[in-house]
Amino acid sequence: MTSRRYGRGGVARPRIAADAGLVPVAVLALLLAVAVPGAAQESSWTLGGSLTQQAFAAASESGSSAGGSYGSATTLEATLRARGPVLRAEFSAEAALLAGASAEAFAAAAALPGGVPTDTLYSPGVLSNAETVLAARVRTAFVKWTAEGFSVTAGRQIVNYGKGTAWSPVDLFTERDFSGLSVARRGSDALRLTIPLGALSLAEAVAAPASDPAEGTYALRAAGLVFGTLEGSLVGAWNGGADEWIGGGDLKFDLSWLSFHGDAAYAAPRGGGSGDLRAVLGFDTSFGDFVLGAEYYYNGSGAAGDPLFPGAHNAYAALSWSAADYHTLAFSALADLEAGLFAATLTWAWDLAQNGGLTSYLRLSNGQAGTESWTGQAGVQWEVKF
Amino acid sequence: MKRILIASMIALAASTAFGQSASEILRKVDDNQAFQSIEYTGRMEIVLGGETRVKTMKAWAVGDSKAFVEFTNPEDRGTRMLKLDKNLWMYFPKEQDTVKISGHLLREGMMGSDVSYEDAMESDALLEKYTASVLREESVEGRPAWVLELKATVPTASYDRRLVWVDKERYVSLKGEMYARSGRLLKESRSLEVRNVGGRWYPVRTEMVNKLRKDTRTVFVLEDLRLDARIPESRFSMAELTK
Repeated sequence: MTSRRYGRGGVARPRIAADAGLVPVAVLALLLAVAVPGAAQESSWTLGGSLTQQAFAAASESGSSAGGSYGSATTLEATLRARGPVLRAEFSAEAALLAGASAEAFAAAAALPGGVPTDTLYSPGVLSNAETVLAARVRTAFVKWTAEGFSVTAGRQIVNYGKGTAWSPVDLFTERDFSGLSVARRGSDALRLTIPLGALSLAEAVAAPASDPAEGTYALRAAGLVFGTLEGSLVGAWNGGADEWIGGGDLKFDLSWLSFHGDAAYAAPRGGGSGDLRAVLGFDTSFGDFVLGAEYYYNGSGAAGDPLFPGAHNAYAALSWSAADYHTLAFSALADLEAGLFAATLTWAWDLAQNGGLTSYLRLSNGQAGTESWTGQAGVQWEVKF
Repeated sequence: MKRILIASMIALAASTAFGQSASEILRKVDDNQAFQSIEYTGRMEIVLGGETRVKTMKAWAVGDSKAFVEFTNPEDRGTRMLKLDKNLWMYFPKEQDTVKISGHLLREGMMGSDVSYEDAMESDALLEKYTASVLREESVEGRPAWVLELKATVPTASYDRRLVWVDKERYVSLKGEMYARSGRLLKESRSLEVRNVGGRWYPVRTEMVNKLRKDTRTVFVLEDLRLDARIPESRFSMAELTK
């Protein structure tokens, strides 16, 4: 891991080709929301964000060679929100200053097609042995109109499908970022229409046309409570980029203090032929000061369906312990069971103040980027929210 | 036989405190705290290890089956909770994610406080889940009170047994103790301030102590309290949660 959100070769490969085309539209609408006479009086504005700094030392071993490195990443994230009676707008962006091994990894990723998301802007000269890199991107920029329960959202947004923690095959629109200390979700440029089906259920249509509408992803979804306690959804989609139809769904239910969840998506080529199944099963529970969760992920479509986890059998487990007031010790591991690859992270989080905390971590992984190498990393990260 | 009869008479006398049965007292407490709707600005002061974390919020509720809370402190701004009957959801704005709080999550402290999501979900009407008897009379910070013992009658009650100190004049809970089936004391509550709101006495500053954790307490303060306020039905919907 080199930075919270930037610069790992092959990590952040967008499933949907990012296109900044909708972003300026959303920002313009955001500004209009304030400018409209009358609306401004009823709207509320908030500005918030966080400043995060991370520093680490890493050691790697590959065959007979071994080496050490260190790096740092400073990330500023700011979110501006406006909310009126029927209109809501949000603009969120982040900028990161990467140094040392973080910058080197970013440069290496930038040299690969799709290694860095196409919506990321970065300082020139990255590819020529840069020691520092300044990178920035827009996280979200959308306008949401709501009336009588109906809503239309346009712009860069996080369309959350699925119930999985590490994997959600049915999560068609949101790229997951595993480079940080916790799994993060990236926004995608989309138009989303939501229709309420009673107070607890909804139907929606989402279109993410990308730069070429023929290459976009389009989905219909129904979600809600079944039998009063089961939470689930059904999704049907067309993925133009892969030229395939996708059908899937997710479910979550509880048996006493055990919570179970599952996701499944089946992709069938438009021209016929056999399709591919991807599915996740997981559970989570707590006992005393411990919280335990685990997932199994079957990827029947290999690298074509999931370039980050191409193996057929994958597993995730996490255990956290509230060791003392404001202190949490957590262990998590991701593994490709077929290839014998894994990444394990031990973190100690100290909730230092109401608006900030300190996290130190140890991470060990093997087989990174398709090599036989081992990599160990020790780092510290502090965050201040405002 | 005679001994049983005497014991029964004593129990009956204890349960009809000065002409009022424990159930009547509890009904008056329920009635006093029952509302058609409520709207308030709230503050949660979580004291842990000598440090205090403050969460502020706006909240709306209709009866005890519908509630909507939006946190307003900078760190949690935009985080919302929706309670509809026995279901509870939370919305996290940064991830634009809606999570149903169920199973083991219900036992967790709400936003790190001593109040669990399960506590938040429990109906305010104690008579629906407990039978009551009067144990004794005591004074709580100078105010005379009945001490009621409540025993759970339904498995969905959060606690097997509760003791409630009821203000004899204002029919407000001044103090409470919540016990597990094993007899272990789990939580303590105290009303730190009671105010007359629209002719009814209502606790506006309440302290909750989780006895399973050391050196921790949560003070819940209600400000700008409006009872029986008019709240649109659309407030309590998934659409509003993610608005």
